[in-house]
Amino acid sequence: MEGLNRPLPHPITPETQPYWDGLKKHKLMLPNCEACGPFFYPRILCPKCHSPNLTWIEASGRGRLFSFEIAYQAFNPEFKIEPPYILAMIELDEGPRIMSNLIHIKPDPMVVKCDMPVEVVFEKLTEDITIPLFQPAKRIGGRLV
Amino acid sequence: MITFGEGNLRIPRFEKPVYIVAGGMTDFRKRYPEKSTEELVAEALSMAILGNELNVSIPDFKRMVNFCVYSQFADHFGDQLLAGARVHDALGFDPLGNIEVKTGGATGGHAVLAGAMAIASGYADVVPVIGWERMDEVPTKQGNSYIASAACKNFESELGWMYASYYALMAQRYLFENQVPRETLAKITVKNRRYACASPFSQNPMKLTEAEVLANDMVSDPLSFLECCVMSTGAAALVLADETTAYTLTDHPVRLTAICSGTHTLRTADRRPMEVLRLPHEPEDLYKDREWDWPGFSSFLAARMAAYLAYHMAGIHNPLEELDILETHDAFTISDIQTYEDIGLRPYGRGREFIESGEAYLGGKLPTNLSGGLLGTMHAVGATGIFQIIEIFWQLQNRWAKFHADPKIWERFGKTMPDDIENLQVRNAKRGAAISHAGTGSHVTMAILEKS
Repeated sequence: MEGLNRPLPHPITPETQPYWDGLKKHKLMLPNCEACGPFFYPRILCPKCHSPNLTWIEASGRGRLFSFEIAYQAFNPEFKIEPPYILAMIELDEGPRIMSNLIHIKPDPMVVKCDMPVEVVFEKLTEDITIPLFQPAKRIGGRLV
Repeated sequence: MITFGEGNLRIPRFEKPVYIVAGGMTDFRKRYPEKSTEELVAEALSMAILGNELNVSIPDFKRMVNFCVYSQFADHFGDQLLAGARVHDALGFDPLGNIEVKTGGATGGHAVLAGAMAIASGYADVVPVIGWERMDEVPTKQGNSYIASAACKNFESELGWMYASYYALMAQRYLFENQVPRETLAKITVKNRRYACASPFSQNPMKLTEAEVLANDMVSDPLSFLECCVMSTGAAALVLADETTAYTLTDHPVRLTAICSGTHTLRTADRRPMEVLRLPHEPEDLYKDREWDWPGFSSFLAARMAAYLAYHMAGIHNPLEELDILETHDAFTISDIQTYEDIGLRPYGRGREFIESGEAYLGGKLPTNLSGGLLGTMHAVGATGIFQIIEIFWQLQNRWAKFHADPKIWERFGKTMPDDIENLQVRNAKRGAAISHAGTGSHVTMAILEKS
C-alpha cells in the first residue's frame, strides 16, 4: 500500500480480531485459556489442552528481551525500514513470547542485551492495523516504571 | 504436543527391507543457465545408473521402474506449478505414477521417506527419488524474499524477516545461555568449506581461517555471511529397491535401516515446554539438575523426534559410538551445534564440544559433512536431502574416491581436480546418518544407512 513502510499482516481471521481491535485502542490483548492461562498467538483452541473455552486478558505490555538479532539487509521489497534494525523475541511478564522489533535503541550488540526489560509501543500502520513494537523500559530514579 | 500419548512414540517399521542401489548428481552452481531443469535431472539420473555400474542399461532400467518420487522445494523460483510433471515426461516415465513431496528444506529427506514407504510396503520394487532446485532464474534478493515467506504471514512478515534472521535469533539466545565463543561457530564453516575443496560437485569451496570468518561482514548479527549456506541450482537422484531387485542390480547395495520424521511449530515464539524426550543412551537423571523450557527456542524438537524414532528403528543405542559418518543440514553454523545436541552427540548445552574435540573431523570419532555440506557444497533445496544420503551411500560403499577423486568427473563440470586433493574416504565405515531439515526446524528427517 502507498506510503507504508512495512507489509501488512494478513489475513485478519475472526479468532484474531479481538487482538487487532485491542491494538487499535493501544491495548495488548492476549488470548487466555481458562485452564492453562494466557498464550500467544491467537488460535481457535488452546495450544496446550486444546480447549475451545478461551477469553481475552489485557497484558501489561512489559517483558524482557528474550532474544534479538541485528539485521543488516531486508529482502522483502515491501519492508522499507532502513537496516540495521532489530528483530526481537519478547517474553511478556504474563509468560507468552511474541515476535517484534525493538526500537528507540542503537542497533549495536554492545548496547542491546538479552533479558533487558522492555515495554510495548503501539505503531499504527493503517486505520485497521496497529502493531506492537517494543522499546527499552523507561526508568525513573533507577526504578522501572 | 506437550505430552505423548500411546501411539505417538510407536517405532516405525518397514515390512520389507529397503535398499539404496545408486546415486548421482550434477555439480551445483549459483547459476546454471547452460542447462534446463529437465537436462540437470536427466544428468543426475544417468550418472546414478551408469556411474554406479548397475547391471542394466538406462533403457532397461527405465523398464524396471514402478513409481517415482520428486522433490522440489518452491514453485516460486521457476514460476512453474507441476514442475514434476514436466520432469516425469522428460525422463520418459509417463504414465507411471509419481508424487511430489514438499516439506521446505527437508523436502529431500521426506522424498526419500516416501520412496522408502513405497518399497517397504510392497507398493513398488524400484523407485527413483529425484530432487532439484533452480534458484537462478530470480535475483538473489528476490530468492531470499521467497524463502522468507516461510514466516507466519498473519503475525510476523511485517517485522522484516529473512532466513538468516530466524537463525540469528536462535543463535543469540543459545550463545547467551551457553557461553559459546564465535570461534567455535567459525570452526564449522572453516571445516565444511575445506571439505568442499575435495568435491567436484561443490559450489563454494574455500580455504578459510577462523580469523577470516570472525572478520567477515555480519548479515544478521550474530551470523556473518560466511556462516550462511549457499543458494544453488542442480539436481540429485537416488534409486531405491527391494532386496531381490537390489541384488540383481548391484553387488553392493546399502540398506536404509531407518528414515523417520519429526515436526515443530513454524513460529518459534509459539514453542511450548515439555519434558525432554530422551534418546536410548541418555540416562533418566541426565537433566535432573537443569531447569529450562525444553525444547524452548533453541532446540529442534523435530530433530529430536526424528532421531528418537530412527535410533530405535535402526537399533542404535549410542549414536556417537555406533555411527561412523554423518551429514547434517548445516544451513547456518549455529544450527549445526543445535543439531549435535538434538541427535544426542552431546547433552543439551554442550554441543560445542563435538566440534571443539575434533570428533567432527575426518579421523575423529564421527566425521561430519565430509561432502562439504550446505555451507560449502550445495543447497539446491529439493536436491539437498537426497545429495546428503548419496554422499553417505558412496562412503559406505567405500567409493568416495571413485566419485570425488577422478579427474574425469571434475572435467565433466569444467573444473580441474586439485593436485592436493584430500582423501576423505572414511575407513571401514559401516553405518551413517543424514539429517534433512526445514524452516526453523518445522520438519526434520533422520536417515540411517548400513553397509550390507
